Amino acid sequence: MMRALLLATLCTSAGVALPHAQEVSQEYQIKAAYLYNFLKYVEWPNPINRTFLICVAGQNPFGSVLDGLTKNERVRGNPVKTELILGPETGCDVIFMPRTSNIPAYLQDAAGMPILTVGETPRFIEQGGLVNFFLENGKVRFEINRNAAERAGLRISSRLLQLAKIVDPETEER
Amino acid sequence: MTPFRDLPIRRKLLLLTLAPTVAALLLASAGFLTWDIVERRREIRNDVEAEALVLPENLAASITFDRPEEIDRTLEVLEIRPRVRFACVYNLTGARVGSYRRAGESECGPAPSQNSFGWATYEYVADVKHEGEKVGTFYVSRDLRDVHRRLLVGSVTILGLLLLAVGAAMALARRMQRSVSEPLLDLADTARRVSTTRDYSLRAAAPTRDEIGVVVRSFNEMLDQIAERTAELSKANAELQHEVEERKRVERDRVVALERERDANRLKDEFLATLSHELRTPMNAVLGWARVLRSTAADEPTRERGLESIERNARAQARLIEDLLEISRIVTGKLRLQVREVDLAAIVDTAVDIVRPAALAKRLRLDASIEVRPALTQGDPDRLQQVIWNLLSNAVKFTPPDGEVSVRLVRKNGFVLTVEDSGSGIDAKFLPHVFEAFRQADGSATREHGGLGLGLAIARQLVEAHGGTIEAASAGKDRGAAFEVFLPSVVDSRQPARASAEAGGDAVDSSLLAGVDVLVVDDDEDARLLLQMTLSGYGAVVTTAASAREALAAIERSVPHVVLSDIGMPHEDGYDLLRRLRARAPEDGGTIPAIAVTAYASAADRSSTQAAGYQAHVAKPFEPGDVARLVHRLLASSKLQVSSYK
Repeated sequence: MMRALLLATLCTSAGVALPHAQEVSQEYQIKAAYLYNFLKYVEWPNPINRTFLICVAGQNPFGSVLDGLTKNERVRGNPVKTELILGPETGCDVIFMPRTSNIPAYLQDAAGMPILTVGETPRFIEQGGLVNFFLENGKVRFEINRNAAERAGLRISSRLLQLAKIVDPETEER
Repeated sequence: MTPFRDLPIRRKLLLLTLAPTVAALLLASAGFLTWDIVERRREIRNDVEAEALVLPENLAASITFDRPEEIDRTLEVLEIRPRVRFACVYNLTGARVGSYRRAGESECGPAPSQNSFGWATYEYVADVKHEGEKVGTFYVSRDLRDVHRRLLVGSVTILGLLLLAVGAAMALARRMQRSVSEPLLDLADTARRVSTTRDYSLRAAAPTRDEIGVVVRSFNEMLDQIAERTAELSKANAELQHEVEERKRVERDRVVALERERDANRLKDEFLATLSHELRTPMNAVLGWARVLRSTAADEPTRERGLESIERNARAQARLIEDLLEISRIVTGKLRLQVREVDLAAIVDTAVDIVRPAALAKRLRLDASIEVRPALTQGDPDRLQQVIWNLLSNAVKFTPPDGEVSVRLVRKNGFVLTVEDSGSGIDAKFLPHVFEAFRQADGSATREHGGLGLGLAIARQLVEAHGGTIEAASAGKDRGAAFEVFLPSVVDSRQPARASAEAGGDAVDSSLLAGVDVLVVDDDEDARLLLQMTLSGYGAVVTTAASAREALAAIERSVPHVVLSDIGMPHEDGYDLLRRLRARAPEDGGTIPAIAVTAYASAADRSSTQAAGYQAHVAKPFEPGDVARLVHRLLASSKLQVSSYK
């Protein structure tokens, strides 16, 4: 019952029909939608006439869900592409690092670059990540290292920040 | 309900003042309220829309990242908007993902498809967008009851103000309309009173200086003019009326005068007819008997009867003429009374004696009752006798045979003489006219009684000339009549002796004129002869002359003691004769006493004859005894001459 409700909420909030919903867990369906929607609340330093590239590191937990979400969609007039990367690679605007991937390597490579790094492990922010998914009461939520994002040259919308849990390991906030 | 134009002017003015005020106030209030409501609603709309512009912006992320508790928290800001009933947020699938509800308000249902500004609520729906992309729907419902309360409060306030304003306007209008309505009402009232009472002296109250004042002034001026004109009219009317009455009166007088004239003419005609008849009747007897006597075949008794008849008829005629002259004198105002002391008793006696034969002839009882003797007063004995004889002879004339006539003389203040008879009486209609000249009860030619109808008229004139009165009374036709004469008792001691001397006896001595030479002058032989016979009968020696010339010749031959002359003669009349005679020396007959014997019997004639030199005047016809006495008296007064001639 609870799960069914969550799914319904996720599906509607993403606003996109999911063709293979049965194959991908509800959690990742939601995460895929959030990844896509982050594009709308984050400003990159030089966004003009560029294709937004969402990279998924190592293993793709979304199946075809993320592709389905981004296909033919435009954010601020720019098309969106998804790509699976197996090692650190340039050109990504967003890198999602599942818990199975080699997170430190990817983070090290992206450090100082205007790349929105998104993880799903508890120590992701401490490791240098910017946005990290976590579950709270069965709902997908996220935390953001606002200072690190600013240092990377990314401007995160205040509206997004309002919904996120703001963390900064350097100021020993937690 | 009365239409406006028929309302009293007071109410009209009030309405005129109030209606626009109320209308203006109502219109203004309605306009203001409407504008206020419209403006208020616009404000509300703007307000709500502004809200919906800000809120969804904050909501978009919460919807996208599925944070209903964030949505609810965001919507909680609506708490400061007390008119917001509830608000809801829906995601793209239409599911509600957040809501706000004020305490006491219901939960919101599905979002309406579009905005609706209803009566009680404003339902507002807006898309929730992020960077132009719709992510959900925002729905808010706002309560509009405060607007209605505001409308209600506004309306009530305005109504209250309106009532206050109307009251104030009414109070002001009442006060101010008086200055307009009162002069008008007074004018109307005055006009109404003038029209009902017709009193044009009424005036409307003192005029003000506005147009109403002009009307009032004009009205008053109009009244002035009407009053003036009415007065003029009624004056003219009165004058006209007076004139009409005057004319009517004149006309009436004219008709009466005409009537009287016609009456008088008729009377005169009647009188002339009567006169003619009365003159002819005795003439007929005289002429007839004269013819019989001339025939000489008549024997002595017949002659005697004839002569007697002639004398009687001649006397009757003389009486008529005497009456005529009398009335003529009266009418011309020349009646002269020879006033002296008279004894009425004696006069009555004489009158009774005169009518007694006639009364006896008709077998009438004639009673005379004289209670005062002597009854002395001042008067003309001849005239008084004429009156009494007249009344008595009338009584005898109008009383049928075997009747009764009575005469009574009593003293009562003066003397009252009553003559009563049992005769034909006087009709009540004729009674008032009985003393009028030329009036006879029976004016017709076939009347029973003769006479000229002058007797009573003369009697009245004579009585009145004596300061007395005469009245007639009658119980009616055939019931007798009574005449009552009142004469005042006047005693004058101046001529007592002379009266008796003058009254000196009827008996005339047949030798009274013995030895007296008399010259008789008359162109008429009969008259001459009559005088000659008369005077000869008293012993006079009579010489006759047929004209003045003959007379003067006779006097030259022998101067007579006295001359008796007619006046009216051809060639030279009696006046000429006397003038020529008096022109002579006394020894040639210049002082011979002369007596005029003439039918000119008026007083003027008397004075003319005296002026011509006659000592006396005898009217024809004359009584022989009178002439003899006159001659005697004249000679006695000029005794010297007489004795010298003797």
